Amino acid sequence: MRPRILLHSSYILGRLSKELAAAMAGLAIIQVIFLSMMAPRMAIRVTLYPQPGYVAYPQPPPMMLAPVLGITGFLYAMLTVAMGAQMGLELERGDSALYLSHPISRLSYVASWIIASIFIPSLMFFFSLIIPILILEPHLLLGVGGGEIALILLQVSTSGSIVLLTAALFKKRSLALAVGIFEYLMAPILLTLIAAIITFTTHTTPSAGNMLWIALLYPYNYYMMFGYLGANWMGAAIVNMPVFSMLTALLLAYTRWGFEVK
Amino acid sequence: MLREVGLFIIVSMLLTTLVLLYLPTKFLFAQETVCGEGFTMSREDLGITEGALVSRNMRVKLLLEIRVNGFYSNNMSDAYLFAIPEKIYKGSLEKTLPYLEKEEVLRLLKDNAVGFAKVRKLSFDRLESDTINLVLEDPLILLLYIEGNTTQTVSPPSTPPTMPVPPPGIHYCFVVGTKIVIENEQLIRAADIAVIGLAIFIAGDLRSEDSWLKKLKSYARKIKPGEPKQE
Repeated sequence: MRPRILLHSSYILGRLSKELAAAMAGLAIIQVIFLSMMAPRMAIRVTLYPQPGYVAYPQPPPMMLAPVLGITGFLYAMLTVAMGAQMGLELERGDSALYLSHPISRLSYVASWIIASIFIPSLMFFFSLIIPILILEPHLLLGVGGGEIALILLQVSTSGSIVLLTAALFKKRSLALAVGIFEYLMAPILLTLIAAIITFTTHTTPSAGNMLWIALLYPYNYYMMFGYLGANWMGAAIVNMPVFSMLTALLLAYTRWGFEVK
Repeated sequence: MLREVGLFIIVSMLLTTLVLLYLPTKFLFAQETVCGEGFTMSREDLGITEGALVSRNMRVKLLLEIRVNGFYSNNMSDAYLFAIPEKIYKGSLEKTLPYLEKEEVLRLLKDNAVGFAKVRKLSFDRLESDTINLVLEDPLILLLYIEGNTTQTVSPPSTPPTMPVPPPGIHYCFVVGTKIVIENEQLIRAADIAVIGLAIFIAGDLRSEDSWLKKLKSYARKIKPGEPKQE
């Protein structure tokens, strides 16, 4: 017998399958068009032939997938935020009471939403990125963009968990959606402004280490913004993962002990 | 859930294959440019610049279009752009070229090059080559070979020119255009992914309560070929 969490996740996905399939097919086609446009550039390396006495200056890491992820990452984030906010709609309208009258625990109910709104879109986004790369050249997966893919998945998953937590706490779809959009779109701009003001007033040059706090919620943005200063994708992921885990744990803990439905 | 994931893999694979089959061959062509200045080897009869190194990041068939442009203020009698495999150049040519006569240098470079093109001098000391078209096999070194006295440098003209003139000496930019050719290898990989996606889809569908395949089977049983439809 299948676990109830998976059953309910399948049910949620079944309900949202048309929208999800359309969004993901759109994402996939945008990604493959961009990737195939970038592929010739990724396929070769042209450098100056090193002469005697030539000093190779350290180069920032090549962010090969940045143009693709800049566009599709945004769509993927909006999809995750919108799906997470759907839980708020269920709680707002009282549909959740109907589901919870079936033999499914509150914890399983919320866990199934985590799977349906964070895990499955992330998995599909990951597939839509790696399938073109796998078809073109599997070797590329090891070298190019692995860090970028991991960071965008972490960043969007963190936003998704914030939206689910808001939906569980306030039981309002509109509020969850607003918090998600603010957190993903507005807050990074505000944080960058704050960082700029701080560095301006203290007359200091920012280093990748000083700005690591941005990676708490936005590891991908941090890597993109401070890559030229030597920001490391692994460092950004290590800083973000405890925050994502803590938010998810907080959501589950609240569901277990403080969650009530109308 | 597995069914949706499998379906998505199949759809994604189909879209990828269609785009990859169509786009790279029709429109897509990336250009990389590297620029430098000065000769690696300069003598009274010739000069050589070891300009650029071209290597591959992907094991796909790559068509290259290579050309060079730049500025050179001295007179030159003849000039060529060469694309030579790095292994051959570093193995033997690099060490022997400085000790050979002009004719021998040119012959050796032509013999070992996978492609070469004539370089012309245009107005305002501009250099421009024809294009070399080739399939990239091994890493290549792009060389610019110039006949003439390359040890002296001519000072810039005293009268103001109509366009900015770079400082004396040679300045060059190698331009490498790349095109990817999709071959059977990629199509086989696409088929592999399709099989995996189909297996996941079938496994997921047969386990789900509203199985599409079971519905299709029962629908096919109801409507048998040749049997009139019941009202």
